[in-house]
Amino acid sequence: MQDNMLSVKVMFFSMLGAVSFLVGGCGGIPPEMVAEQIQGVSIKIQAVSNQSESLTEAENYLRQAKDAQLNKQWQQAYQLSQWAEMRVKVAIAIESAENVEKRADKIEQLLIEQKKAVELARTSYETAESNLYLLQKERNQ
Amino acid sequence: MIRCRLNCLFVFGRLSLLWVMLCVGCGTVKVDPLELGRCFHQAEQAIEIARQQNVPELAESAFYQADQLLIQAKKALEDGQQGYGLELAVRAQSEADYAVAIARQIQGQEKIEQLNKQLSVAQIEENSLKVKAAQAYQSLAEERATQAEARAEAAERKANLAEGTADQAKQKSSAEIQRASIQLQLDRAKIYLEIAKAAGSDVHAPTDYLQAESTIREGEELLNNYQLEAARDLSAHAEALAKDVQMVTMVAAAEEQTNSSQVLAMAELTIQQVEDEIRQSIKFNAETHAPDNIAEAKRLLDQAKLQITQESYQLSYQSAKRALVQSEKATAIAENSEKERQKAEAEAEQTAQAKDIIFKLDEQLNNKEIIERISQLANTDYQSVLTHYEKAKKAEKQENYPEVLTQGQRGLTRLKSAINTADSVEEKEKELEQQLRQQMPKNVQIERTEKGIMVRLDTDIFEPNSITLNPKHYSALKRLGYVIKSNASYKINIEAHSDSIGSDKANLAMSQKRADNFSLYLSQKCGAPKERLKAIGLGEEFPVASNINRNGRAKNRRVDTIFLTRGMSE
Repeated sequence: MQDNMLSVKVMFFSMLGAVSFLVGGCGGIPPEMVAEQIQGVSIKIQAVSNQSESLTEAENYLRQAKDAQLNKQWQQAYQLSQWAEMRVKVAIAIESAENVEKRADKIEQLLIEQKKAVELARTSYETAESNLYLLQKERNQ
Repeated sequence: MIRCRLNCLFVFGRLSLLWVMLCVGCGTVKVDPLELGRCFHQAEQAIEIARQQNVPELAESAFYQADQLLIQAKKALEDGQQGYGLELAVRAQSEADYAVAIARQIQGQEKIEQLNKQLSVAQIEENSLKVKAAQAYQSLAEERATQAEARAEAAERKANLAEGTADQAKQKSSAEIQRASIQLQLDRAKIYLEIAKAAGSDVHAPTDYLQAESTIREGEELLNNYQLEAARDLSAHAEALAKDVQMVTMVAAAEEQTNSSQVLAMAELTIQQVEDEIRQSIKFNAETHAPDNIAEAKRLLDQAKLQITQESYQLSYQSAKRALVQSEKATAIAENSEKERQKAEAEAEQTAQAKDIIFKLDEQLNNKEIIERISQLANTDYQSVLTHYEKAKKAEKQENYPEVLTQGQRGLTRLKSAINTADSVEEKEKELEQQLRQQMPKNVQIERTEKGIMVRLDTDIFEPNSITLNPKHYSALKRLGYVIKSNASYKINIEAHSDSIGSDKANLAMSQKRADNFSLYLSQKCGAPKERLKAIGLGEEFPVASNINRNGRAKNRRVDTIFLTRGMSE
């Protein structure tokens, strides 16, 4: 059993090692991987609809990554695109937070309206009570 | 052996991965110190902001990760791994920002939950208050209904009371009305008796008078004692008696006075009639036309008046009647005479007016300048003037002066109209002629004729025996079309003529075709309205030059376009 687990581990790390050796040892990250990373980040940026500082930073990093890609600096392009991805993640989280806050504002507005309705109902009730009291007093007199 | 080989491969893989990390982290990236410093500063600032915003409590995992990344970054920097340190610092900033965003989301969610709770509480409170208000309004309505019922009962009681009072009042009122009626009857009876007394009832019906007086007194006594039934019967009887007394007395008194009074009244009435008649006859100047009759009427009138003062009423009446006959005769004579005089005066006036009109017409028609002008420019009106003038002259011979007046006045009116028309036509013709001279080529002949303004196109407008227009005249025709179109109030005659070569019949037919072609060209090519154009072929009958030579014949093959400014269509 232990042998089997060990052989699986060995196979996994051997393959990973081989790929890493090829990537790192033979001159850096393959261009296809860089292109795929840049494209993925671009799609994520387009999906964000708000205008936060993080989004601007993400766009800047992406632009720099594309420049590096053009200059065939694959390593730098890959790193910059990863930074861009991190900033996009932040931008998406900010957008979600803003949506939650907007919903909260909306509910707050509803609460204000509801409080007005409560006051109106209270006034109506008090008026009716007051009129009833006056009528009963008039009858007793 | 196999295990040993696997271990070797495992070690090789892990070493290769580490080598890649080292290559990525520190081996190949050159770091700008300023950029590095900025990134570290931003990462520290982001973590500080997160800490201030209470993020560690809300997004503990993300914040912890950011904090650890910054520590590792600082360590890498201390180890001289600047690239790796930069990478970690950037990651630390992103993680810190992410933690802040997550914290905002959590805070927002908490706020929403809290608000939703408050909202539910408020809704429950509103519903509760509404229920309470509804119950209160129901109680209010019930209370109002109870009070309204009580008021209605009170009102009903009052109404019943009022009804009873009204019945009593009605009964009382009926008795009072009856009493007043009886009193009125007795009062009327008293008045009848007073009239009878004034007319002499003590002489003419003394017994009846006393009886009626006694009955009235008895009736009053019964009335004062409220014996209404008996009083009513007695008062009716008293009124009848009193009425009889008055009647008997009046008849008897009237019989005494009738004779002399009637005659006097008739005499006075007749005198009044005579005076009216005399005034009427004077209006018709009777003192001139019937002096004897009016004098006799006045004499008899004075006599009648004198006889009245002498109380000779019958004689006065006779005199007045004779005076009335005389005055009526005088009026009739005077009225006839006056009517005849007025009629003679009116006839004389009419004759004078008729002669005056004839004189004025003669004077105007003898003015050659005017006659010549209107006969040319307003011939229709001029002919009408002549017709009325002739009728007026004929009536004058027959001494029918009313007819003279009618015809003469019509003639004068027509004459004024003709002069105005002539002025207007002349002015318009001048304008049209000027326009034509400006528009048409110089060699085209433009003249004012008895029908209006004529534009003559000759000299080979058509070739001999041809009905086709010569193209060199197209320009002139287009200008002519423009003038026709811009003067929309005139009808246009297009009169085509031929030379004398050929039979009369053939020339007449050809000239008609030429006129038709000319008209067609003007309407289709030059914009002249077709309905205003009339094409007339006149053949060789009206030459303007000798047909012996070629030039003369060319002149005769012409087309005259005539603007009918003087209202003629032919």
